[in-house]
Amino acid sequence: MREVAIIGAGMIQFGKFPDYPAARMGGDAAEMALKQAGVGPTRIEATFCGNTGGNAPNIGQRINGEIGVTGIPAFNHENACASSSAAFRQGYLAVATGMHDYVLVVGVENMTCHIASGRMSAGPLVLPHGANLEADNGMLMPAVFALLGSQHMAEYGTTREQFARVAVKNHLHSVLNPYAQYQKAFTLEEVLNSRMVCDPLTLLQCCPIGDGAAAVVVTTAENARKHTTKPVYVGGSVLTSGKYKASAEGPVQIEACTRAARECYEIAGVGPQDVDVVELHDCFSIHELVAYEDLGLCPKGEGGRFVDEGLAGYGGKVVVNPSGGLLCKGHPIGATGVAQLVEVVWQLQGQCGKRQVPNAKVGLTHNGGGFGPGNEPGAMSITIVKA
Amino acid sequence: MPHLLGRQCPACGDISFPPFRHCLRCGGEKETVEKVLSNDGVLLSYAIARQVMPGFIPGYTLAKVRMKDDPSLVLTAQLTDVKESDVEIGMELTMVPKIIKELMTGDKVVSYCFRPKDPARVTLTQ
Repeated sequence: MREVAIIGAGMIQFGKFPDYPAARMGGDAAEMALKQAGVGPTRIEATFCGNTGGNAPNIGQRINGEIGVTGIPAFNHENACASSSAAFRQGYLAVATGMHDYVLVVGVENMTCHIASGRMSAGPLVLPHGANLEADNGMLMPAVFALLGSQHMAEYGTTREQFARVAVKNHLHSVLNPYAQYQKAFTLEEVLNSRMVCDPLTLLQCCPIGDGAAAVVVTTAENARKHTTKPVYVGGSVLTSGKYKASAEGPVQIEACTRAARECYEIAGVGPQDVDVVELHDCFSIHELVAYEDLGLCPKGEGGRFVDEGLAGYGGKVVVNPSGGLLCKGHPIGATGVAQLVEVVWQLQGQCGKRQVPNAKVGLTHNGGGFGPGNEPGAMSITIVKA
Repeated sequence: MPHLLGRQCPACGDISFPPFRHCLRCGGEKETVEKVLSNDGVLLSYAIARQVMPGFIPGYTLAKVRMKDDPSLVLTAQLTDVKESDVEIGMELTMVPKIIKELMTGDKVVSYCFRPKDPARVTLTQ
């Protein structure tokens, strides 16, 4: 397998844009990435697009059309919230295995365009009756994590304040990110007192509905050195699935994350202690706290202490979600995986201005997707990149 | 009294609910057989849903229930017939069918819910 690198990354600011068609958003993000790469659109040999399928059929092809490219293979990936990390992994494999030399990976989602037709959104958030037994019983995404949080509190003594501190940190980070949907800081009291969504998750601890797109241009490491003095090399890209069976035994964790992270560290030849910056799937504050442990950034059960002591922020052990994360940057479902990668790539390229993580050399993205039987995640994708 | 119908692997004994026709522990080839579950379990975790999907009434409690049949079998379902203040992790529960929502067609949906096993903790819901 060949060594692979990212030579361009771009994203649009996330927000609520019911009239900004998904294909156009994807095209705009792709243009930014191509421009940074210094590569013309006709150099792209294949496009990998992450989207929940809630926008249009052949969304990848439509994005290609927006940038003036037709007649090339386009792979449209649905993997719930991990759609575009899964798409990235396929794009990465296409280059690593020698099938293609230059590929485009785009993540895109327009959720608000459905509101006009009376629906909150399409895709994995709103399922028809009969699709999923847990959802038929009233299971909701915030509840999936509230249940995890409740177990974590009972098992390790984690507190509501500790979960809320994750949100405080991410809201603070978002103030310096011009691409974030929300760029406002909140105090611990404001986070705890915001409207209760699903105990202990208050509104400011839950990611918003929104729209956006992000893109990266991927090529071989050898080609990369012709285009840029700052290629970002892919150390490893792992995609796995949950085991469809909840368990009452063992540590309180998301098993698929622990497993995927272990595999990715091994492939990339680094350990959690080597990681400088992480874009982590904080769909809900609870998910981030538990993921500190499952990613090996701190011991099992000590996620609360990790955030209390400032170890997940600037000046700590590793900066988690410098972008503001899903909570504040936003979570247009299909766009998220690649957007996480874009932030980490920009950090490793030294492009992040006021929110730059000093000396960022190793980055990691953590992107989980959906839930199914047993409330286990459908997909879990971890990517490690190195400067 | 209705019972939940799961499936069990004849080779390793693993029980699945929701039922899977192939054993997830052994791997693809082993076919499972029907298994009537006991209706009893223990509360592992709970969360109160305040912002809910169409057809549901806000304020229901979702629970993870460890089933007596097998400690590795955990169901997710709503709690019923219990006051918020009486809910306690580790409490014994028993299954009872209840109407949990109404579809846009007007059809009512009955599902498996769990109420406290101890009658002293039961407060019947309307």
